Amino acid sequence: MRKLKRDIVAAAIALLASGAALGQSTPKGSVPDLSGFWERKDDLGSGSFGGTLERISKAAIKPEIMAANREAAARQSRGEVVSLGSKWCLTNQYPFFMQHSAAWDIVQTDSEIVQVPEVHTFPRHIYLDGRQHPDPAHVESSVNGHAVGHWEGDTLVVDSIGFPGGAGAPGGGRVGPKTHLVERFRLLDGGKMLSVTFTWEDPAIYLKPHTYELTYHKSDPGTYAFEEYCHADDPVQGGSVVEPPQK
Amino acid sequence: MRVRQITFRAGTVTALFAIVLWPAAGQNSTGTGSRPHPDLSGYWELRFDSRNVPPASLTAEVAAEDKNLQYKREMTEIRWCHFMGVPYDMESSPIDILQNRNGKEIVVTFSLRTPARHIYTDGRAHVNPDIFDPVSNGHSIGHWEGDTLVVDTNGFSDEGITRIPGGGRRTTGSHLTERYRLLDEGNRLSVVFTWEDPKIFAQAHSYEFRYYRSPKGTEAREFDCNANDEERAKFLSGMPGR
Repeated sequence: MRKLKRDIVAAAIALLASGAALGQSTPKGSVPDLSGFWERKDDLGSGSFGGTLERISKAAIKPEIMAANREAAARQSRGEVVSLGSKWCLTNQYPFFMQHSAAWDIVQTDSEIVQVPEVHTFPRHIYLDGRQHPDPAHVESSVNGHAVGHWEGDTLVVDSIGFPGGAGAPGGGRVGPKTHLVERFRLLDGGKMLSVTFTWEDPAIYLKPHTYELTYHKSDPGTYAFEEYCHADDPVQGGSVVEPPQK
Repeated sequence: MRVRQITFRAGTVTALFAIVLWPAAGQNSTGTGSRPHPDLSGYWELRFDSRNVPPASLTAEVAAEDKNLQYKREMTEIRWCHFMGVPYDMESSPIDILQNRNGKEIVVTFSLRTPARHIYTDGRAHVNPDIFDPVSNGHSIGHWEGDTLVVDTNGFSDEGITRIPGGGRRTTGSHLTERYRLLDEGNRLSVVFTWEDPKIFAQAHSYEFRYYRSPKGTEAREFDCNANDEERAKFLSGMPGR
């Protein structure tokens, strides 16, 4: 009987060890493979920005941000130009490419993951080597922010700060210089789909954390990347937006 | 007998859990431990002694070209924030090489606002040129020859900074072969570039860069570009010093 107890204890220890290996301390080599090209497909029209994004609940934002959003919408409805980004081919800031219909590519190593979008912006580097964010007081802002990640079981958790400010987030949110973003990347449907849950926090913008989920479809094997160029000196591109009269 | 039976069951349960759990953990594993090829991943930088670039042997037509035209063309590309492309982006520093854990792709990223390079190592062939839209980095496929990664690139556009170290320029008819090899126990990376283009080169043009591995903790930077910056435009378009 004592032997039985000893064996059961040994079995329990072995089981716990197996379970732990699948938990927070997932060893190298056993994490999910997120790599490949991923793309949004709206069931309300492929590439439609009025599709999936329309379903995202409105962010609880501060009254002054809400007023600014309303004013921008009113100007837009009057035919005024509220952004010259496309005229001048300005770099798209995060999270723009996560909402775009163009595919983006994940390349994964043990110490770093990079998201490579087709739209004209920089690749997004997510460091997995245990490093911390720089001191927020001295972080050099960048269009994709400073991102560090770790694995919690089969979920990649990415923490970002250091955005330049000025970008928008789905649901009427905004991205400011002190905005904090946490994302959770998780494979679905046997790896055919990827879920990314975004949670934005910024007391200067949001009344409470703004959370939503976007899902992406794995592109076919053999998919290759394009280069989405934008030429501000092309009269067609430059003429795509007519500047408002200067005051 | 009964005790022995129960002991056996406990061991069986353990074994079953091990069988059930570990394969589940390994299902998505890319088995980095068994990767048969050198790992080129990391940040790499060029230093003053990183380049061995002999003069290119150019065709007579290209050798006779007005170099001022190439200069003006490049300044226009920079002024308007066009993509820069290969080989210029390989001269930026540091470059970040990511060798995917599943062995199917290698990506090279840059601090420049220019697209990353995708090097497909999954055995695919080049895209049919009849349907491929040329791009500044071209279409790259790679394979391993022992410890050397051999990258073959075609499908170039003539956009961006097209000058090639040593002379000549990238055109839509250019073909590039690169050989990547680790040196000095992985602390240095040799890349031998060989360009072929009958309109540009009288014979194949080869040169070598030897990158140094960047210090641990090196991070990517973003050198952004604003075509709407008037002072920048004046600097790049005007006479130097004015």
